[in-house]
Amino acid sequence: MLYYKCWLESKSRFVTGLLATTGVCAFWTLGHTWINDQWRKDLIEHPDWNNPDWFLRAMNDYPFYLHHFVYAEMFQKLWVVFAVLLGIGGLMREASHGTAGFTLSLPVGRLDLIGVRATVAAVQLFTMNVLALALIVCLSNVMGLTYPLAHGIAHSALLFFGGIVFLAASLCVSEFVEGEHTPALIGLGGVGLLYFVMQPYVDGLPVSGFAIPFSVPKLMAGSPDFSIAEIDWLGMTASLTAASIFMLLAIRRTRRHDY
Amino acid sequence: MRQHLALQTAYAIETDGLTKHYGSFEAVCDLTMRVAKGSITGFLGQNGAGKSTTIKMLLGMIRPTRGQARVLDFNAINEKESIEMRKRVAYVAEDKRLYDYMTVRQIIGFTKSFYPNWRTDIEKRLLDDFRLPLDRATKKLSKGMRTQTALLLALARGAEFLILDEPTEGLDPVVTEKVLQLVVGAAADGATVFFSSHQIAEVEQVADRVLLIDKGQLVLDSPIEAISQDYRRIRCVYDEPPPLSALKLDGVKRVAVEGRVVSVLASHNAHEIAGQMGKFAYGHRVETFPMTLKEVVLESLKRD
Repeated sequence: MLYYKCWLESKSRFVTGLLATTGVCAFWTLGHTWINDQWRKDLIEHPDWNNPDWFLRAMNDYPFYLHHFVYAEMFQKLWVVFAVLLGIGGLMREASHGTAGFTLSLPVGRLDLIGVRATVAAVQLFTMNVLALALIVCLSNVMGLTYPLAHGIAHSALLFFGGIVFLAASLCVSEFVEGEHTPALIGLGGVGLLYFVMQPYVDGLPVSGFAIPFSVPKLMAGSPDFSIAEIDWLGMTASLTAASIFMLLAIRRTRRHDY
Repeated sequence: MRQHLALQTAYAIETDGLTKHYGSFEAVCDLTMRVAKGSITGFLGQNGAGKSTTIKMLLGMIRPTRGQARVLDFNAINEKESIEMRKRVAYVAEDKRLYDYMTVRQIIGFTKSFYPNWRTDIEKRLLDDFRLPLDRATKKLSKGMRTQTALLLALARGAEFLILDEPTEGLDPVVTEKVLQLVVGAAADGATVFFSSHQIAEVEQVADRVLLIDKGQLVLDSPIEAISQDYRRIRCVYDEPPPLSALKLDGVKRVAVEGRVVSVLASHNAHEIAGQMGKFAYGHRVETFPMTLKEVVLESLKRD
């Protein structure tokens, strides 16, 4: 029943996240023909425009187009935002709501409480990935386009395992910071800092050393032409290690804190 | 579990030197107390006296700075034992907040799942008595209804031990009376009840023992009956008050000297104390007055 409680607690965030992420996927899939037509018109009408590197390839390579706008951009950012939001909660939040006493009087361990919360959030994020991919494949077929399923599965997996660190960080912040909205603000502030301040800077650097923590978006996106050999294993290990550290800190805090 | 059964005592709560510090602030200080199984014990104290902190330590929500606590013979400080203990204990928190995102029906179903001995008969009876709207979200319940829901969730657990933190706080007199009757009913069914309050009259009405805590320290531990039977205020007007050392007798809880008037609060042994005071009275009369729980509590809370 702890799963049921976590589900009730987070279902509105999950449903919102599901609508937002599938909406983005639907937009870029259904809009492909129209967007491509506009690009071709622009190319003819404005031959002098300095187009970015990806532009010509995105016009002619549908999997690349989807990778560029979905897995490396809009879907990824939304997914990360909802990873943070789904990680918010726990005993500190319950303490500020006045329900921690009720929860802690139940015959369950604190480890179970945080474990169930992490599991439910991870399953919700995984579901977002699966439904987004299913939608992309189905709508591509409707539009007469082909999107290789293996490509989508690989990118969904990269996004999930590379980005699970955001969920772990959010769970951790929630266990340390009191208040209804403060942990969410801190989490989303961190994501904003990473994507809009650090990322443009890191994009110009080789992905190594100190830059690894700031290159999670790159890690989650992977290469447009996915191959096992191109997976950034060092980055993936660093990201999963960071996720484990965040989880351990959250567990330690949950077990020791006075509520 | 076998070891646990072998160690069973007559106490629902046993604490030894239980202490909780928050930085330099001592919320609970060296608290040693016993609560007998089968009793209704009122845990009195002013706001901030340490009642809730003590209860939270007993339930494993707060880790003591030092000291020991056993609840139903389980070590309350050990997490595994605390979980076992919580299968047998029902708790109603001070603020009685429930999960906002659940309806009354959902929270009953949720709570029920943790307790194999859930009393469906009690659940149905209290739902009828309280007329709780099953499909209303708990956030839309009035404070009285929230308290009643919290009590239903506690009483239907079929628990051996009820710990209630200010169960009547903020309730109107009608609901307060209902709550107190439920407490008495639970005890009649064999449960031990430990409830905190700062309402002396409530404690007097339902409890058979009173514990009083002040600034984290236990200042009174007495059966309610003993308050009227044994507690006395003994007063005498002297020409020359006797030396305080002459009044260091068994049963003397407090001595107050105001000018020529010496007043002694005695927990027992009033006859001998009055006799001793009479030795210095030289013709003045030594008066002995019975005391109410309220007077004893107020005397016990007076600062030196």
